[in-house]
Amino acid sequence: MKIVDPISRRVMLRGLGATLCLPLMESFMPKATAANKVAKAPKRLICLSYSWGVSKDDWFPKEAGKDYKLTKCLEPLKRHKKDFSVLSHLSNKRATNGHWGTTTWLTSADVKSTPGKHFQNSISMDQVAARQLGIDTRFASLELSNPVKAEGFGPGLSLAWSSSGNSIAGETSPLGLFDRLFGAEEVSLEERQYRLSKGHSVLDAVMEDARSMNKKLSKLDKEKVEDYFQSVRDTEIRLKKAEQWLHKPKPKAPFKKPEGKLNTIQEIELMYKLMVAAIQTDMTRVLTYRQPVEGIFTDLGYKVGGHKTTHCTTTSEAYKASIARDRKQLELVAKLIDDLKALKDPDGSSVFDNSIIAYGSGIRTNHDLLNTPTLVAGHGGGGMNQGQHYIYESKQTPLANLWLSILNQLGIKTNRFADSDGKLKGLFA
Amino acid sequence: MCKLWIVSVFLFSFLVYSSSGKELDSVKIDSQVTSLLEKYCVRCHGPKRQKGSLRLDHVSNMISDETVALQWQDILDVMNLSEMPPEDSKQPTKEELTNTLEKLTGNLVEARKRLTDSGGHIVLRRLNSREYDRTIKALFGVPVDVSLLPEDGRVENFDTLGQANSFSSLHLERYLKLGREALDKSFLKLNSKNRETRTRKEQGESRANREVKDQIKHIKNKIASLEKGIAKGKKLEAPRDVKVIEQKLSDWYLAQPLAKTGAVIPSQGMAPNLILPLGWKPKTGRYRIKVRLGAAQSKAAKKLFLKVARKDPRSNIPDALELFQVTGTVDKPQEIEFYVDVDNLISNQFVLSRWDEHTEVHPKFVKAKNYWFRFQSVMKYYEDKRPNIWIDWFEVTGPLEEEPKPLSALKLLAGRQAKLLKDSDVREMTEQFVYEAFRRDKVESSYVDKLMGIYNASKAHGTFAEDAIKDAWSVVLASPRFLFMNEPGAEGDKSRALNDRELAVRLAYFLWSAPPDERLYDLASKGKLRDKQVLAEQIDRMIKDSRSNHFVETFLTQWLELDRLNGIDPDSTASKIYDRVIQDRSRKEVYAFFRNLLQNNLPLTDVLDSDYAFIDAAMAKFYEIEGVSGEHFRKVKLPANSIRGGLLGQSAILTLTGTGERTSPVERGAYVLRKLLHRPPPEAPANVPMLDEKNVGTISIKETLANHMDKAQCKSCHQRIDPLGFGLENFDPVGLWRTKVVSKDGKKNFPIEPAGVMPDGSSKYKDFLGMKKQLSKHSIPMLKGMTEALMTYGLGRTIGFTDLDTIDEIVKDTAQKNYGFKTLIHEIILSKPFLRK
Repeated sequence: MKIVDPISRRVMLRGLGATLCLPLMESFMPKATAANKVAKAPKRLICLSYSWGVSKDDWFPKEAGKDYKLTKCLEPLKRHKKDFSVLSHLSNKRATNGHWGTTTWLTSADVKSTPGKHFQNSISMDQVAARQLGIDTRFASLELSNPVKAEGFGPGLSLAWSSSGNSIAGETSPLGLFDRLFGAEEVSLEERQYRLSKGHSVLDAVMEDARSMNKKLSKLDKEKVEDYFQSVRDTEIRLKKAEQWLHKPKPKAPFKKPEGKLNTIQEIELMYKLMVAAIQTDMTRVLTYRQPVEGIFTDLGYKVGGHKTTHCTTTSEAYKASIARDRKQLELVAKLIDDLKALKDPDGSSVFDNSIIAYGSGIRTNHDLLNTPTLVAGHGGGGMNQGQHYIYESKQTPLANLWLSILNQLGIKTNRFADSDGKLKGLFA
Repeated sequence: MCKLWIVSVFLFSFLVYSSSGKELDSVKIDSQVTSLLEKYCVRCHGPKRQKGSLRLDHVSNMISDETVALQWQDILDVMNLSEMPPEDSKQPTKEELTNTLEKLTGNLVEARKRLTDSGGHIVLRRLNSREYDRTIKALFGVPVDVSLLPEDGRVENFDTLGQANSFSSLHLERYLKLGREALDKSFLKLNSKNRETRTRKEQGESRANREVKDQIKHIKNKIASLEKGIAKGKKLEAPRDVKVIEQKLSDWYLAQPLAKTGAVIPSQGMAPNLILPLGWKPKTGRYRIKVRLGAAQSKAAKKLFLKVARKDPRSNIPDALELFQVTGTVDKPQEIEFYVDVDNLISNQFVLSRWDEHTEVHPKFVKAKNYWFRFQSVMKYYEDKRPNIWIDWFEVTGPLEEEPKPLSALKLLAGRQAKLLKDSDVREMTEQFVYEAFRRDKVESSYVDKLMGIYNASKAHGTFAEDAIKDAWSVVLASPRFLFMNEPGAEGDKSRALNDRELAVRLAYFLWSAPPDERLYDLASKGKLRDKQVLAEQIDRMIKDSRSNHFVETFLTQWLELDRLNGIDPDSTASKIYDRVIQDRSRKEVYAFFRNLLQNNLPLTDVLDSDYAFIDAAMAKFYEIEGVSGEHFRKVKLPANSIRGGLLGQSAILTLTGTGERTSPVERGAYVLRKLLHRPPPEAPANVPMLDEKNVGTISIKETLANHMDKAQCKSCHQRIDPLGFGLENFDPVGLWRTKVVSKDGKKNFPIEPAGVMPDGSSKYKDFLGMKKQLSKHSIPMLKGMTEALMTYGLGRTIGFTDLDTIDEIVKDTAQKNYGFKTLIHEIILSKPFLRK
């Protein structure tokens, strides 16, 4: 039994108090250059996903178009109705495992198609975006995740997968994230400089061993060591990025570090606040969050597991819990949207106007992988037709078409992503 | 198109026969499937018309690569979803469809197996977090927080497969961090002078009375504040009354005679347990705890158990460690002893309590319960008539001297001041350290140069010499040759025999999940390990060694999926006597059952049926088997026609296949097919709608699942799965016997209909015992399945098509030698795949 300590919540709220009243974005933004007097507001991407799908009959709207009726589960988003759309008939067609809620959500990969391998994922959409959107920020992208095993996410440490198809580890603790974003530098500049240089010699040493071992390995084993080499290269890139930012102090945190024990709902809330803070201080422009689900039931006073809510009748207690969870999740998203709307970019537009938020899961309900729940909010810098329920004609429309369209909307030039067969019409111009 | 197929079938059958079939890495689609397509599909998807630009006569009927496999998967998917043939065209009969779906599904499963066949190649293995943990402990004798490592990938639930183990920059970062932690801790241990073992003894009464007195103070304050609330008009009478009773009970507790000579648990009204302190900030290591106790009465109690648990600060449910039967009394106390591992990472509070069957809140306090859940102890134990446990004293000894001996590299350092060391000394130590960490692999001097570079740079930066050494050495613990099982390839990537050192490493990680010990390294260095006689002796020695317990427990947990028990909350089960302790003991029952088979080389046919159970007092009580006392697991002879005996009589197995609240005949049936009959059913297809669960609990499970037989899409697999599950329906969700199932609303009773047919259609059975009898005829498939599982776990690769001959040989030899478990391990280790790279 999980007991919610009423005090800890109060403590936490004190920590979060008066968070976002002062959108001081300008000071964090790159200065306008001579050639480009008014700095153009940057575009941003937020991807949010969870396991176990949604309540089968009360989530998806029935009608198409602008005048669709918000369902019971979508109701918490009412005040933002003009600013998001529901997309029906999108699926990751090549997904086959009914227990993997998020593994291929952002990759749209066919994980079984690599000969001789049981599992091989491919790069996720956010990482493609980060290559371009992440050049000027301290972190090219931020991956947030949930550490609990057996939550129905499927393989992977976060929503993000690298170009080699390796899972990218996510920050799982909001407090850890706080420290990473705003934690004071404990040591002097010289010490940090020394540590970075030490980092290089550590990598140099392990590479020496890797190379000498690799020389004598058989061909297939060499492929495995390639993962190791890649991890060293990735670390190199991080070290280089850290060197670039070495002389620039971290921004001040917009709120005090929260204390106390958090329940799951509070944890998601805090993660959202920190995401907003990271954007506010322009530390990153690409964020993904694989969020917990199980704890929400407990927090709301239900004694059911996530898996059970996917196998239940619409009159059961588990289904009630399922609806309550869907609503709570979207209440939190609605608040996130509030905060992003309140945040202004230097040109006067809101951060929300310049962002795309993708919200969904790889599973519809039960073990159903077709027509998965998909919401897109934000205006991506303009030119999107929000506020509708789009029902795509082909029931086989690849979810990758959405990822491709999002990438294009964010200014990334590419014609394909995974199994995409075109751009999504309607929502995107 | 007809002709085309005939030609290709002919061509391929020729190839198949000419090469005995086993080298071909492709699967032929069954002719039933192709003829069904021809009959119903080709009209629209053939040479004349290509609706949806699909032409089925161009799809190869040999699955030899992924593209073809995907095409067939698509065909299967549309048939499973009844999307094709369209409603208005001619439909196949149910029987045709059932057969076709079964064949095609089987073909695709087989194809998937062959396409991912490793060809006998073991992909370079990384230590998984379990092996890493045990390796660090074996080298340094200190634990590190391996929960920081990313979760390992699994194939078929096994965590040892190289192909599933990824490596990311987070791994690198964490290995550096954990390596540093291990070095910090072991240097500290090396330098700490206060490690002598100490013993502290405390009388039960002194501990308990102190707690009670503290509590009385607390209760008095609470009553006062509740009274204040009542004065202000708040409705707090109910909780106040509880507290008043609690105070009375506390006074009564201190006044009773037994409280003067010991602690009494559960002490009515007080915390129903005794917390054992290990002292302030106990040192990392192993502690022995002795407790002298008895029933709190002069007569011996019949079924009284003491539960020892580690208190997890994050949850209210203590993690049960041990269960002891209380056989002593106040006049004739008994002594018990157990060991606990302590470090600064997990809770170091241990709780002694009486193990109780479900304890309800006393009717008097039902109302108060809604206000004050914290006082449940008084509410539950008020007027409790069951015997209490009296604890005379307890004694804590630790930290105990432990294996392993420190590394030679560390010994070189012991007693010397690091700052006085010359570079050449540090280099010598570093070489030794690398040699030991890399499992006695050759040390490259260019690599040591780099490490010395790190050491010197750190020192130049002003780091203490000792820390500079750690800087360099922690890099070793994140280097590939430490983290990976380095087995160089042969010329032209041909297969080659392992050398002695490599064999020692493979053996040690198979049976111990830890590095080889001195004895193995010693035999390897003398080139003797590959001698068959020597090897056999070593296998016996390793199995006898207590480190093999880890193998038994890990292998069984992964193979039998015992981890699924973790997802079952004992409170959610309808059983009043199934609790976390029974859950824990039931898991240990499985371990003990197999450990006995292994240590005594008993026949694995006992897995299918045995005339004994392997249980302790708690499980005996649970199974209602008389005459078993004490907490150790032992063989208990069963009467003829007992429902226990064999794997399917064990609570853990029967529980993990359900939800805790209800059984799942489908899960149970599939489990029997997977684990005992070696006929794993294919995974449930995605996107096929689940059975309507509206009716669950309102009609019988047999009626609910009747749908499976109506639709061809379901029947093709479920006709083999469901009957086995029905055969087990007499076992309730926690594995106790039942003769009826009560409906959800409690108003109806459903009869149990266990009769069925074996999956191969060969024979019928009337009930569970009949089914078990039939199952026991399948000892060869069972042995085959277990051999494949053991080899997957031990070799760290999937067992494929390439291995069929080897498996057959091992199974044949083991069966001839009376199915001994130890024999099977010998056969596996002496097989080619294990001895070769």
